[in-house]
Amino acid sequence: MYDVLLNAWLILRSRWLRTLSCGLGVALGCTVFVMALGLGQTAQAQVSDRFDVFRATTVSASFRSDAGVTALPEERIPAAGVARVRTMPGVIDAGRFTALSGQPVIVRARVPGTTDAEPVSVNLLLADPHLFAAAHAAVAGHSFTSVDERVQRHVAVVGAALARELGLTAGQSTLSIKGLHVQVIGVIESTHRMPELLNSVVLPEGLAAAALRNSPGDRVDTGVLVATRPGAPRVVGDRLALALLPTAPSTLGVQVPEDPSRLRLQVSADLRRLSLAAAAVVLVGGVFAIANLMQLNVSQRVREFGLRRAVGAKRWQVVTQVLSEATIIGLVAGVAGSTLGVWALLGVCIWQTWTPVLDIGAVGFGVVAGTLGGAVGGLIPAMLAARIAPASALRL
Amino acid sequence: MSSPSSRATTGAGSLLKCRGLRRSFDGPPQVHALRDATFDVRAGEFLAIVGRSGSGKSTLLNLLGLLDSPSGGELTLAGTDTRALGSRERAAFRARQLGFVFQAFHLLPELTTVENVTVALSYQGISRRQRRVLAVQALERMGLGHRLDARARTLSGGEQQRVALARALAHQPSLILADEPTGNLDSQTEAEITSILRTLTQEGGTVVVVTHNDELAAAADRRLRVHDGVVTSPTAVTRPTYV
Repeated sequence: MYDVLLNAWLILRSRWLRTLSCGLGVALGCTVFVMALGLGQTAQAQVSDRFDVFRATTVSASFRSDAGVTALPEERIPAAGVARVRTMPGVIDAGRFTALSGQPVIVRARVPGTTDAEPVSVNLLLADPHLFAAAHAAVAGHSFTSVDERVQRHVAVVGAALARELGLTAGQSTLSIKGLHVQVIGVIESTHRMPELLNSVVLPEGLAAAALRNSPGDRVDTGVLVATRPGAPRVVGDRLALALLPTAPSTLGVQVPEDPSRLRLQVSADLRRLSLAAAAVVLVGGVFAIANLMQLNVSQRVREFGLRRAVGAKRWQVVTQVLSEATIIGLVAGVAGSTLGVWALLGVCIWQTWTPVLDIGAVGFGVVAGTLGGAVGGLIPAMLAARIAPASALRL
Repeated sequence: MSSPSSRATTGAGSLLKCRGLRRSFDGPPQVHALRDATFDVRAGEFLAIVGRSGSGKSTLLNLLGLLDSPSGGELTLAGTDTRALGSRERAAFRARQLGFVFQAFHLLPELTTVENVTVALSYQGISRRQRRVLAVQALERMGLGHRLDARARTLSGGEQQRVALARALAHQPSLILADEPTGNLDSQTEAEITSILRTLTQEGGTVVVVTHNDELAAAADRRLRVHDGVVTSPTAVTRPTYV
C-alpha cells in the first residue's frame, strides 16, 4: 500500500497543475458545504435571539363581542382584573385596549398653518396608560396618563405611519373623531409587541363613552396585552383568564406564543435540513467534477497505465493508484475548501455584523466529505484505467 | 500447423519455446496476425525479429512479453507454460522475468530518471532502499550516473532510451524484449544502444528485438523474418564487432 501511495504522490506532485484543477471542484464543494452549515447555524442563532426578545414574551387575552353589541371596556374586562395581572409573577406590565371594527372611523386632521385635511379612515383604539409600556412602544412627545383618563382630557396618541400620512406632529395637531376634537400629544415611533399601533389613533379609555357613541353595527373587541419575562408566557397564559375574569374565564380567548425552546428546535431543524440539502447538492456536483476530470486524466495517461501493466502492475494496483490519487486530491481539497469556507463565513459575518456560529464538527465533516467525494469520484476512472490493455496502449 | 520454414532452432534448455503460436483478431474480416510460429530462444542469445510494417512482428513480441494472449499454440518462458497463467500471474511473471524497451521510450516525463526506474521496480516486492540501489546501479551501467535526478523530459532521445534500458534490466530479468529500440534515435545513438544490447547478451542476458534497422539486426546472433504473420527465415548471421 505504501508503494501505491508513493506512486500516487509522485504522479500528483509531478502534475501539480492538473492535480490543482482536479481538486478545485471538490474544494469549492467543501467551501460551500462549510459555509452553508455555518451560515445555517449563524442565522439560526440570529432568528432565535429575535424570537426570544419579543415574540416569546407577549401574551394577550381578548373578549370578542357580537356584532352590534357595544360595551364599555370596564363592562368586559374590569380594571381590577388587569391590576391583578400586573402583580402576577413573571409579568412586566399589562394594558387594556379596545378596538372598534366594522364601520370605518373617519377622522379629520387639523395641522397649524394648513387647511383642514380631507377626512380619512383610521383604526381607533381605546387604551389604558399601561398599554404603551406593555407594547414596548417608543413614543415621541407624551403618552397619556391615568390623570388624562380620569379628567377625560381630549388627547390622542397616533401611530408613526398614520402621523406621516396625515402630517401630524405631537403637541401641534388636532383630530376630529366622531365629533370629538382631540389634541395629538404623542407619536408612536416603534413598537415590538403591537405593530397595529403604528397605524392607529389611540384615545384614553375615559373617552370611551363618546367614542363608542353612534357605532351601531360595529364590533367592539376588548383585550389585554401582557408583557412577560422570558420563560413566563406559558405560566402567565394558563392563569390569565382567571385573573382577568374570575366569574367567567371561559369567555376570554388567550393567545400564548409558541414555546421558544420548541420553536428554536424547529427553526434549527429546518435550517439544518436546508443547509445540508444545499451542501449535498454542491458536494454531488464536486464528485461529478472530480469523476469527469479523473476520467479525462486517465484518458490522457493511457500509455502510462499501459507501461505500468507491462512492467508488472496488477489490475488492483492500477485501481488503487488512481483511487489513491483521487482520494489524496479529495483530502487536500477538503482541507483547503473547509478552511476557505470558515474564512468565507467569517467574512460574511463581519459584513453582516453577525456573531459567527459554527460547529467544529462541520469542518471535520467537510474534510471527510471531500475525501470520500474524491474516492467515489475516482472509482469509475480507476476501473477504466485497470482495463487498459498494455499491448494496445503502448502501440499508441 | 507450422511450416517447416518457421521451425527455428528448437531444443531442450531453451529460455523461450514457441510451438505453433497463433494470434488472430476477430473481424470482419478476421485477421490472422501470426500463424503457427515455432522457434526457441536460448539463454544468452541475441535474437532479431525483422519484417515489414504490419507483418506481425509487434504481435509476436506482445505475445512473447505476455502483453497479449495467443489464439492458439504454446509459449513456454523460463520453464513456465504461460497458458496456465491468469492475469495476476502474468503480471507477476512480467515483473520478475521480463524487461521491456519501446521505440517511444515510454518514460514518465515529469519523474526523475531514478524515479522512472524505481516505479517499475515497485511492482516486484523489492524494498524501497533496495529499489534505489538497483536503479542507481542500472543507470550507472548505462552511463547516466550523473543524471540521476534529472527530469525525464529534459533528457535527450539517447539518454531517454538508456533510462528505458536501465528500467528494463534493473531487476535482472531473464529476457529483455525491445520493440524498435533505435527507431527514434540518430545514427550515433543508434550505435550506442546496439552496443549496449550486444554487451548485455555477452554478460549472459537474453535479448529479443523487433527492428527494421539492418545494423541492429546484423548485430544479433540470429534473425527471424516475419512475413504476413508467418515466421519464415531463421538465419544465422555473422556478428560484427563493436568497440
